[in-house]
Amino acid sequence: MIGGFLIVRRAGALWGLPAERVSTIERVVQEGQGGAPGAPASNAPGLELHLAGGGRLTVDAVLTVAGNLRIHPLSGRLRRFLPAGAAGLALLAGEPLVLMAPEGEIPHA
Amino acid sequence: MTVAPYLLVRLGESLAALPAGAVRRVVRGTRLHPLPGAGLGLVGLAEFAGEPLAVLDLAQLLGQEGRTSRPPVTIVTWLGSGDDRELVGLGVDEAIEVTELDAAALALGQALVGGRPVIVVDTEQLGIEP
Amino acid sequence: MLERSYLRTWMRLAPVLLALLVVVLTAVAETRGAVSWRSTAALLLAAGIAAIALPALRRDIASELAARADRQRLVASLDELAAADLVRAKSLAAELPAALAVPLGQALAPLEVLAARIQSSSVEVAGAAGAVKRISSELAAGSSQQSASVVEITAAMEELAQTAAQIAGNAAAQAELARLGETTGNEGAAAVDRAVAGVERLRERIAAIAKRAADLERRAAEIFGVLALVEDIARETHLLSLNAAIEASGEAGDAGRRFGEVAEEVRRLSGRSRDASASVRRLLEEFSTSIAATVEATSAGGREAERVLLRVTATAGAIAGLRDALVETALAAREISSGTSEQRTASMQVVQTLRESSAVVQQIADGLRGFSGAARELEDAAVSVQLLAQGFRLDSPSSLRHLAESWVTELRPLLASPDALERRLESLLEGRPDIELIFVNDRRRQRTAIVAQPALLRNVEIPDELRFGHDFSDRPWFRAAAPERRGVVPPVVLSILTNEKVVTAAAPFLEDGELVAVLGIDINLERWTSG
Repeated sequence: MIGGFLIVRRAGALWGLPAERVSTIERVVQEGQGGAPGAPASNAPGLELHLAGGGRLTVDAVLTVAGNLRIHPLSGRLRRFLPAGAAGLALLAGEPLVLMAPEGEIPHA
Repeated sequence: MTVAPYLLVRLGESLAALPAGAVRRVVRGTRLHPLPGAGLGLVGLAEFAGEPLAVLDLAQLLGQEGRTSRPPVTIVTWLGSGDDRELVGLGVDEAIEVTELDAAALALGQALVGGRPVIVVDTEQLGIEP
Repeated sequence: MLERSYLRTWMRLAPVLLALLVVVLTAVAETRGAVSWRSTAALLLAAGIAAIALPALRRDIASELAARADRQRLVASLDELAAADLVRAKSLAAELPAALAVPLGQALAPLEVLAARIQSSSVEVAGAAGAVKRISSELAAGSSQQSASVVEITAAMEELAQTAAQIAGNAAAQAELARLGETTGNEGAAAVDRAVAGVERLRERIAAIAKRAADLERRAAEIFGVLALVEDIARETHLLSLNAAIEASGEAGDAGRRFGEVAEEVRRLSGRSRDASASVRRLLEEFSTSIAATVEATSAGGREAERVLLRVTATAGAIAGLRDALVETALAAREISSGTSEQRTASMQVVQTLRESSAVVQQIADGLRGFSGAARELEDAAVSVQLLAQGFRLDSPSSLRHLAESWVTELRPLLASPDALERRLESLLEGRPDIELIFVNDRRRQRTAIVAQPALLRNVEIPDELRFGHDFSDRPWFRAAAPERRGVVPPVVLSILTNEKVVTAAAPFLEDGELVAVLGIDINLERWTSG
C-alpha cells in the first residue's frame, strides 16, 4: 500500500497507521487485550498486522485505508498528553483518531 | 479600572475564570473518546466543528486534583497565542456566566467573584510545561 | 293232711267212743239194777275194744298230740311269721318233723329273702330319697343363688345399658356438637375465606398502591423527563447565552453591547428556568424518594400480605383439615351413636333376655322348692317304708329289730350290774356312728343306763333324772315294745340330741314272760341310711 493511513481500532480508539508500515494483515484470535472502555471482549477474533521491519500489531478491527485525511499535527502542548508516536489527529466519519508516525508505536490499552 | 469579560466556570468546588476572548464555545454533552495510553490530563478526543478536539482536564491543568469522571461541559478554548493558537477543549463541571473581572486579575491569577475566590486562567500559558 | 288225720283219728276214736257208750249204758243199767250177763258181756266187749283200740288210740292220740305239737309248733311258727319274726319262725320250723319243716322252710325261705330284699331296698330307697331331697334342696338353694346371680347380672346389664344409653346420648350430643362443629368448621372456613378475601383485597389495595406508585413514578419520570428537557433547554439556553455573551464580548460597539444585554437577559431567564426546574427537580426527587419508599413499603406490604396469605392459606388448610376431622368426628360420633344405639338395643335385649331367664330360673327355683317338698315327702315315705320293712326281724344287719333283740340277749346277764352294763353299752356304741343313744330302762331296779355318742354330747347333757326313776312307759318305744313283748321299731321321732330324725329300736328284757327292762337304741335315720 502506498500513502494513506490504515485506520484500525484498538483499545476502543481509532488509530491511523501509515499504510506503508503494514505489510500484511492476518486474522487471528486475540487474547484479552481489550482494556479501554468500549473495547471488544477478550478472546475476540482480531487482526494481526505484520509490520514492515518486523513486529506485529494486534488490532481489533481494520476500518479502512484513508487516503486523504486532513491531518492536524500535534502541537507541542498536546504532544505531552498524547501517546508517544502520535503524530497528529484526524477525523474519520465524525470520529477523531490519532495518527501515528511511521515509527510510532500504537499504545496498548 | 479596566475590566475584561471572563467566563466563570466551576471545577468541582472551586471557580475558575477564562478570558471570554479565548473561549470559542461552551459545549455540553460532547462525545468523548477516551484514549488509552494518554497522559494524565487528557480526558479524551472529541469532535468540534468538523475538527478533532483534544479535551483536557482544566482542574488537573490548574494543579488541582484530576477529575475522575467525564466533564459534562467542554469549554472550547484557544490555547496559546498567535500562530501557536490551537483549539483545545477544557473539561469543566459547569459554565456559570460571563462576568467582568479586573484586567489585573489575569496577572494575579486569581480574583474574587461574589466573595468567592476564582482562579483566573491564562489561556496563553495553559498546558505549557514550565 | 289234717283232714286225713282227723278222719283216722275219728276212725280210731269211734270204736272207743262206742265202747265207752256201752260201758256207760251198762253202768247205767247196773245202777238201775239190771246187771246181767248182757251188761257184763257188753262191758267185756267194751273193755276188749278199748284194750284193742286204746293203744291205737293212744298211738293216735300220741301222734295226734305229736301232730298237735307239730301243729302248735307250726302255728307258733306261723304266728311268729305273722309277727314278722322270721328268725323265730325259722327256728320253730326247724323243730318240726321234716315233713313239715321242709315245706315250711321252703315256704319261709323265699319269704325271708323277700323280706331281706325289702329291708335292704327300703334302706336304699330311703337313702335315694334322702339324696333326692338333698339335691333338690341344693338345687333350690343353687337356683336361688343362680337367681341372685341372674339378678346381679341383670342389674349390671341394666347399668351397662344405661351407660350405653348415656354414651349413645353423649355420642348423639357429640354428633350434634360435631355437626355444630361442622358448622363452626364451616363458619371457621367462612371466616378464613373472609380473611383470605380480606388479604386478597389488601393485596389488591397494595397492588393498587403499587400501581399508583408506579404510575406516580412514571409520571415523576415523565416529569423528570420533561424537567430534564426543561433543564436541558435551560442549560442550552444558558449555554447559548454564555456563548452569546462570549461572542458579544468579542464584539465591539453597541451591537455587541445590545447582543450582550440580550444574551444576559436570556441567560438570566435560563437561570430562572434552571432554578425553577431545579426546585421542581428537588421536589420531584423528594416525591420520588417517598414514592420509592411507598413502592418499597407496598412491596414489603405485598410480601407481608403474601406471608399472611400463606399463613391464612395454611390456616384455611388447617381449618379444612379440622373440618374434615370434624366431619369425620361427626360421622364417627354418629356411628358411635348408632352403634351405641345398637349396643344399647343389644344390651337392652340382653337385659330383657336375662330378665326372662331370671324369671324362668325363679320359676325353676320355685318349682324346685316344691320339688324339695315332694322330695321331703318322698323321703318321709321312704323312711316309712323302711321302718315298715324294719318290722321284719331278720337275721341281717339291716334289721334293727334283730339288732335290738340280739343285744337284749347279749345284755341280759348284765342287767344286775349297771356299770358293766353301761360299759358294754359304750362298747356297743363304738363303731356304730349311726346310733346316737342306747339305753336300758330297768323297770325293776328303777334305773336307766344311758350311753350316747360322745361327739353328740358336746352341747347336750343327759339329765340325771332320766337315769334314775324316770318312767318311760309313756314313750312310744315303750308303748310299742311293752305289749308286743318283741323288738319293735316305733315311728320316727326327732332326736333329743341332734334334733334329727331318729328311730328307736326297742326290745324287751323278758324274765319268765315278764317285762323287766326295755332296751332302746336311738338310730339316726340319715346316718343309718347312708351308712
